Amino acid sequence: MYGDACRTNGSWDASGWLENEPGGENWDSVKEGETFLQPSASYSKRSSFIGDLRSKASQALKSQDEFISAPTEQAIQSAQVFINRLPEGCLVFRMALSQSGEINFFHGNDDDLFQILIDAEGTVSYYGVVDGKEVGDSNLPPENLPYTKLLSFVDRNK
Amino acid sequence: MTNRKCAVADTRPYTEAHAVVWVDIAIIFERKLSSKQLRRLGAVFNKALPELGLVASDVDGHGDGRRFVFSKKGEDGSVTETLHIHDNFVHVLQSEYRGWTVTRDSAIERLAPLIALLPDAELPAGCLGMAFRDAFLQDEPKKYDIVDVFKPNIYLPRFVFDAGRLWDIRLEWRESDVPKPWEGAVSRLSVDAEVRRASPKVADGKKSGQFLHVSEITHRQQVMVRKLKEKPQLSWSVDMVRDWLDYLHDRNKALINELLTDAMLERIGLKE
Repeated sequence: MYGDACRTNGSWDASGWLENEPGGENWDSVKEGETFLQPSASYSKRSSFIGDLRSKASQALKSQDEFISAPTEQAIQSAQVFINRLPEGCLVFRMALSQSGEINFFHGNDDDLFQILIDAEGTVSYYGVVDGKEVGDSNLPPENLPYTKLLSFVDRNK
Repeated sequence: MTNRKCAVADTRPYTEAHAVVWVDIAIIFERKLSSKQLRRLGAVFNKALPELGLVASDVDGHGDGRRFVFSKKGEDGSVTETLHIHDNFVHVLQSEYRGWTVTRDSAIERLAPLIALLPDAELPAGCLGMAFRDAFLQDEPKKYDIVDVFKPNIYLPRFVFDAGRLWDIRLEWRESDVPKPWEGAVSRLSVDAEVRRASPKVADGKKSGQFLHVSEITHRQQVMVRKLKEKPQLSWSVDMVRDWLDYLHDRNKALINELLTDAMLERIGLKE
């Protein structure tokens, strides 16, 4: 079934990896077939947040006027990157759009908060108290957010 | 043709934000790996992967040295990714899609120990592969309507739009006009419309064992060179793999844009 990737006669061989189907003989851990696998809990949660973000942004776009700004495309993209990069243990949070189009994420509660703010340029600022110390920074790309600090905050508050 | 609905009815993408069921990224060797090569790669990954959360779940699975499998589970016990070494390839399958950049970088991080070895003449790799499987679900199979998911396009023959609930299409095409250093590309597209039972692990409050209609798109691509010994210009590196995965991803995105309705593209965040 699995031939060489390239045959010696020079023609492209499309067998091998192209035919390697989940559920086949080499797949103990991912079974498909007659049943249909549901997404994992963390995949469902992330997707639910991203769906909610898109829906809120779409609503804001429809209702924007001289006093209310919808999030920019850069802000929405950064927010999605942020959600996708969150460790699995950090998938409980509140999300809110401000009237100026900023996207805010809140971990914890009003007394003990870790806040992430994404502005119109898509850059990220954060503030929180982790292990008794104030932490914060601004103008970061979402890839550079210190996710381990956020995870420490979440773990401490469990 | 029957009356066409314009709006997306109850048919939904696999998750609220994405249709991706899994992404598979592979580095493919010229020849089937020998037992010695398999053991060597198994040892390399056994050292590197645990710190990334992947543990050997089936080392030397059948006692015959045919394969190595490493996997990672989520908090709910679901397998979220696996790395397989067998036959003539090493591949990473991720079943939690976290956007393209996270998915790509995560796969590269896992494959990095192999990429570092590839200049080694004893491991001649001449192909890079990427596959996406996307799914769209209708909880009431009787309500399935193909136009909730697909628009008329160059890949699906017209008859499938009148084929009812159950149909499938297989296409394969080969290209020689691909950017250097690659010399060719093979793409394989399969689209299946069928009724299945939901797995026992049920999300979104659906009953276990419930029947649902599934429209499934699997798009596999591989770019390749042949006669690798004569192609010293194929220099594997993390940057090279990243660039070519972006290239393959763009091609997949273009194909999905061609297949799906605008409404469904919007639901999965691909509407321009």
